[in-house]
Amino acid sequence: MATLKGQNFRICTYDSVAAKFKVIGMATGCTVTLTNNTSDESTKDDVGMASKPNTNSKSWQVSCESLNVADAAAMLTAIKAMTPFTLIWDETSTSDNQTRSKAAFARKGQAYLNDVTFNFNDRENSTKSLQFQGTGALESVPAADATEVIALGSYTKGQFVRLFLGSDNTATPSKPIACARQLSLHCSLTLEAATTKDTDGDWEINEPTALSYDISTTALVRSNETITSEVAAQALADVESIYEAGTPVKWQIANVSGANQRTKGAVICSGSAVLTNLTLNGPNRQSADYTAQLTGYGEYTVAA
Amino acid sequence: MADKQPSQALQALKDQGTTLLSAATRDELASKFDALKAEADGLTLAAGAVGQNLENGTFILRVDILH
Repeated sequence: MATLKGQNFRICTYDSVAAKFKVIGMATGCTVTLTNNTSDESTKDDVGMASKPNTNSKSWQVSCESLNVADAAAMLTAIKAMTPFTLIWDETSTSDNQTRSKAAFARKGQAYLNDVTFNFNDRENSTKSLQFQGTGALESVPAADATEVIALGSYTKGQFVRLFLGSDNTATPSKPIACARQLSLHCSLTLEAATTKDTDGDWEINEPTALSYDISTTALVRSNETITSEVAAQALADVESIYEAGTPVKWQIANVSGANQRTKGAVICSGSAVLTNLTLNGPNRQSADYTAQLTGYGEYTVAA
Repeated sequence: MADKQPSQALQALKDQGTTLLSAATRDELASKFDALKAEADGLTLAAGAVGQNLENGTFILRVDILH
């Protein structure tokens, strides 16, 4: 008897256009968490010290990590849409690790995509983390649900996606962050429990109430700050000026090519943000660097 | 989704809401995307992160249509 391996435990989402479930491609890990939310029903009348947990409601979450960032625009659009996905977790065939086996433990339910993080780090494969919050009941998966096998994906090295930052909230940003090493974009959809006395069953119902995002980038510091004039990029002094102004600035996250990866290609997303935190680091016998944290100001735009 | 010329890619976008452009170089891919945008006049397109298929070196860009 063989035991199930992690690569054959996969999360699928429903593609309404293709009318099929598709596995989350290029996944590197996933976690499903099923929770019975309990309260202690022990009282002074009970002898001894033990508690007696009593289930009040049921909730569930799914998280998944992947090396596929080709769908960045689609995911950023999906979290903004604030509409639930239909999710399945199931065993998959060892022949392709994608075709569902419709295992007895497979379950299906509705869930909001409530957290998305993209990491574009220099000389590393870019990554995507997705978190889903279930809303409503889980059910066994009907055997008739079809699954489409997807083609092998592609890898994105982080140096080919850069943050372009403006100096004000007017002009389209044209300068990338100089000497950047790390870039992450994190979007979060706030959900609130909407379970009421009218709700049937024990399953928690959730509804979206707010969307927020932040961008974080870490960069090295060129000595004497000469890089801005040399290569038209935003250096530490520029970022400090943005911090001192304390007002929103335009940003874009875009594909890049050309010399020093500074030629802007297709824009993945853009918006305005306030630089809320700037940390400068000067460790002994190591490169000085800084980390800038930008908090989204208004909605971001997903359009090339 | 397979590699498509701009006109084929535009039709796939309209039919399926998404398509995949591929090219041997980043510059060629950028040109294909610009051509697709020009053909898709009036439609709003969204681009993902350019990836590279490590098995054959091809550069790939996923493009979605925004409704």
